[in-house]
Amino acid sequence: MHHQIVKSEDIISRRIGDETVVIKDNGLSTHVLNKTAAYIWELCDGTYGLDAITGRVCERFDVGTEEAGTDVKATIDRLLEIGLLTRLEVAKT
Amino acid sequence: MTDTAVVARRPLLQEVIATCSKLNIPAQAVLELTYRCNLRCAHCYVDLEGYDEMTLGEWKNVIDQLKAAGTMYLLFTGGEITLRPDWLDIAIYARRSGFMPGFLTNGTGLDPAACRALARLKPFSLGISLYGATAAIHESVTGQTDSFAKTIAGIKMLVDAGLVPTVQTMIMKNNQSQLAQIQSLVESLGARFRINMGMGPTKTGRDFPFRYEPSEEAGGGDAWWGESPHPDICGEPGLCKAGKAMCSISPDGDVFPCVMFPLKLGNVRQTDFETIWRGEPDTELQRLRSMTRSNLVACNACQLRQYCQRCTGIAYRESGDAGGVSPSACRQAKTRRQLSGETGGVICPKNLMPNQ
Repeated sequence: MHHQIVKSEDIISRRIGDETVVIKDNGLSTHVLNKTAAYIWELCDGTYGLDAITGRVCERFDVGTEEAGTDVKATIDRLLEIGLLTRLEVAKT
Repeated sequence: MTDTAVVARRPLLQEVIATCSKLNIPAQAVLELTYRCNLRCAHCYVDLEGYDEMTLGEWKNVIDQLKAAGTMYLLFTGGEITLRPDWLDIAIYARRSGFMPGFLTNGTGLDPAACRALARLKPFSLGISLYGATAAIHESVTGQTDSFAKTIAGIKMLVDAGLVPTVQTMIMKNNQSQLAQIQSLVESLGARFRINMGMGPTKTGRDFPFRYEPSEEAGGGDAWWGESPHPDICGEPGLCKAGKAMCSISPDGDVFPCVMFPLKLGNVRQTDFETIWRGEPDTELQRLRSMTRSNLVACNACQLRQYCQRCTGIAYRESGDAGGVSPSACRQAKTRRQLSGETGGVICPKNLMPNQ
């Protein structure tokens, strides 16, 4: 078994101005993501691992791998903590 | 990056809607699925019939367009939505498309299967209209025998399905002495109680609903007390989000700033929503979007402000000016002050509020 990080179910997101609004639990929990966090969140669809996301962030925002890697991990940890992302266990193929 | 990358704030949804107001993003859309109704409520503002209602496919297309426009919350209303055999199909499509759905119904057309399906949709809001604690009072408003029993049965089925509907009572001459009993009944069923005094003219501008406004002499009872003031989510007391963060769409596709605002902006059968909403705006819409509290000249100095739930659409209907005086709002504010014993109590918000 290994795990994938994917967006949680029943989440609503919309781009409002320069930010991405993510609404959970029917509005009882609402979060605003900046451009970088929103980009990372969008990439969490189960197809990209941590390294691939870091690579994409480096290209998109013109930052070094080390800095991007630290930020990607911290952002994903935070998104997991607040329930906008979920860790899914999947069987290895 | 991560210190400010993800910001969580409790009242953020209201803040988001206020931002949407500034950016003219229609965060909330009221979808009037049908004007048909099985009840004949004495005060009903929907006095339109014979509409060529949009099909399921057309509504799905509208929902897709609203998502692209930034809409998050869809309120399904009518008429009576359950008269459309496909009302749940439309709602399911909306939920799967990433919307928070809300519903207004009289509850008479619900059955256990529909209630279970509704529960799976996790409604953002679920309002049921009830006008009395007894069949005699309720049906004096609805004009339909058995409608009380059917609405109560509908509330019970929703509660059995695990939902907590908000039972909304329009305060009228007919029921104003029965509010405490209605509240007890509603709470004994496991639902929430909310009262509303926002009587308005009909969609065609007739004013007969005002004949049913509560009177100061009859008194209101305990249910008038203890309601929280309406939280203004536009940041401009006395204004609303119509035409800015809110729109409504009629059964045949006409787009309005809200259900009470008789300013047709276009029709989604002829023009895509984005063009209607973002294209060259009508002069009145431009004015509506640029209005601030300072435009409410007559209202700013009014002593009744704290009792007033002025509806911009009704003001436009009554005075021809979105910033003008709304005689019905003034009258209702006076009644509110009188009935609350001048304690500062303010009754139910007219805006769409989530189940909490």
